[in-house]
Amino acid sequence: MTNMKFTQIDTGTINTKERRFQISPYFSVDSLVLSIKKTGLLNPPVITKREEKHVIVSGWRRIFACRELSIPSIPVFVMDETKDLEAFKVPVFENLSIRDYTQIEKAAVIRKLDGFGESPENIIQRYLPLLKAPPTREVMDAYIKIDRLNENIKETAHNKKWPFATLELMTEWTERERQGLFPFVKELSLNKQKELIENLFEVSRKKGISVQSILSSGEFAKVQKDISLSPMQKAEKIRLLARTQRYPSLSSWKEAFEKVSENLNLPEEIAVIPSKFFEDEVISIRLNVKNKKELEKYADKLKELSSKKEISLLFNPFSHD
Amino acid sequence: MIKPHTQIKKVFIEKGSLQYPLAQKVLKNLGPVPVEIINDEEEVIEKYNLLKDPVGEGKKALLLKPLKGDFIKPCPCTPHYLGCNYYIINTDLNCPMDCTYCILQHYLDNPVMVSHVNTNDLWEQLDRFLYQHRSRFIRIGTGELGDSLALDDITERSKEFIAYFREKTRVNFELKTKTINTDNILCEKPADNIIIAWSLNTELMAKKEEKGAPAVKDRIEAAYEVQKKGFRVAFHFDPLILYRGWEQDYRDIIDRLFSRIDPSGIAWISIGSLRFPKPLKTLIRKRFPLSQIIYEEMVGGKDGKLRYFKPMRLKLYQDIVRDIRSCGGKGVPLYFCMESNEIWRKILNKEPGSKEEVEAFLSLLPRFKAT
Ligand code: SF4
Repeated sequence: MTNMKFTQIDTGTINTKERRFQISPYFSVDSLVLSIKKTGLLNPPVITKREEKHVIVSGWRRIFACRELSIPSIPVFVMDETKDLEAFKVPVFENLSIRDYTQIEKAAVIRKLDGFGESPENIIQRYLPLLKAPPTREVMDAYIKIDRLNENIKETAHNKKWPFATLELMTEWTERERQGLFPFVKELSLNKQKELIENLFEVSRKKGISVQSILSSGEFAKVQKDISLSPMQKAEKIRLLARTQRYPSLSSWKEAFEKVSENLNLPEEIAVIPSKFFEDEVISIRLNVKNKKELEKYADKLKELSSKKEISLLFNPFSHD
Repeated sequence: MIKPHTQIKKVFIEKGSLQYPLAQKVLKNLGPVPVEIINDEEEVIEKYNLLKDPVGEGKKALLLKPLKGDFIKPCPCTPHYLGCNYYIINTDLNCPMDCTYCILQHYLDNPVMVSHVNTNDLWEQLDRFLYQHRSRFIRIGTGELGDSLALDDITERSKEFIAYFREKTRVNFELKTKTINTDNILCEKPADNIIIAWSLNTELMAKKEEKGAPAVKDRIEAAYEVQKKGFRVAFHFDPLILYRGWEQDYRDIIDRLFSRIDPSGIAWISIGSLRFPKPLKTLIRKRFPLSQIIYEEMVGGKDGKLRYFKPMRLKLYQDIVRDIRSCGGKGVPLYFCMESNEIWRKILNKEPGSKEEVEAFLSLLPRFKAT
């Protein structure tokens, strides 16, 4: 058990540039500032000494909030621990007991443990299960690579809570590829981010060309140059283009289906819906009605529709080719 | 072709397993390899999880242990598609070959090959199982969670299986392989209900995506020898893989197949296209970075697994079936593995409706008479 001394120190004496024990730099102190203003600092941070200076072991948000409130001195636990690995276990276990780590934080924990000399066996068999990750070498290595990603990507990934698989895929891109895509990715919601990253990666690997080459060619380049589009609109168009390139047959099938259903001039109360990815031959017909009279009206309409020759095209939009 | 078992560099033996005759036979047949006695399988799993490529490394090690549960299970097939009521016998798990698409990379918790040595329990369980199902026809085989013949040089299981099933005339027993390890089989007397089956692909796919497996022409030669000996043979065009030039390459293999094999002695040919659960895609990308097979147009099927977009599958099956029919396999029974009723209807003009109907169709086929 490490020795801890409870004491009061000057906030100005803490070296906040020394981040060796920091797990996540992506935090905001706003809510904590309010709480400290009201009730004071209830849970003292933990600090230790390195090169004669106080460095933070745990409690970054608390210390930054106190600084923002210009509180001159605060209560802290000073840890008498010279081994970085032992000191680092304090924030790791402290955070584990109060919240789930994001994948980016898990990556930081794993890489730091590795850097502080923890054995791979211990990281894999002890820490990965604690972090709710599969206890394998592959996963450990992947986290170390994830932690090496650039700060802008890590920050977005942390804030949007990117899943492990998306981040792992990102590590397989070159830095130029990642930075080329980043302006679009950051505009999208999580699911769309995942989709864009995966599709572009796979198109590039299938064609054997870099992501930049894809982004700077044809329709992709046009979208980027279009000054009438907002960054979010551009991102959305890029996402759809990537999807079409990744799934050309499915996209043209979808397009043809939509065209057929459009040509049927259906009233807005009737919708024809294909099965997911057209895997099933069944087509659903949705009918929105308010009362019996409407039901009769649209039932007649459906009957009329079923006698149209074009209706069979819904089951194979390319059969007229 | 190097015998697959020669890549085994280490044997783990679960405590107490040496008493089994099969364990002793395997050790004797393997020759000098380092042996480690372990308390339980978990130890091996933990050890291999520390390695960079546990799946690849696991193929160089063999664990001998008894199976505590059931050897015989219904084939899990896949939800929402048509099965065939097949039963699987889990004697040996995993295999020394390393196919890019192999589901076992994802499916098995233990990356090391496992040989279940308590064969006494196996025969007892089989007796009980066949008695319980005595009123129906059974199709059963060992090639689902591993290759039926990959370890046959050291386990010699094929001989015992053939001897056991020979008299069970209401059972079709199938050994399914990609290897040419047929020495043991060629020493046995054939029986009408013993079927030796090969998974086939194009030569290009075999070379690129089936690491450690023999060339397809060699598999066909092995099948030729086995058929000449008097056994019924079967073939599995599964997984069919789309790539530039697949049409001609599959046609060439089908052509070669029918130029060597008497179609009247083919029990069946199954057809299936590449499919796998989503997590396998990541594994393939990492273990086989040069492979292109995951970048074809695959979408989520009704079972959630990735498979080729349906119109692409239809085209693929149409061509394969046409080639089989036109190259000499007109009367050979064909069936789909894990496909929908729609595909059966559109390609084979059959709509079985249930796995029992598929089973009936495959079980009641006219028998090949060995000459
Ligand atoms: S031969 Fe079969 S079991 Fe062996 S790696 Fe290939 S697919 Fe898997």
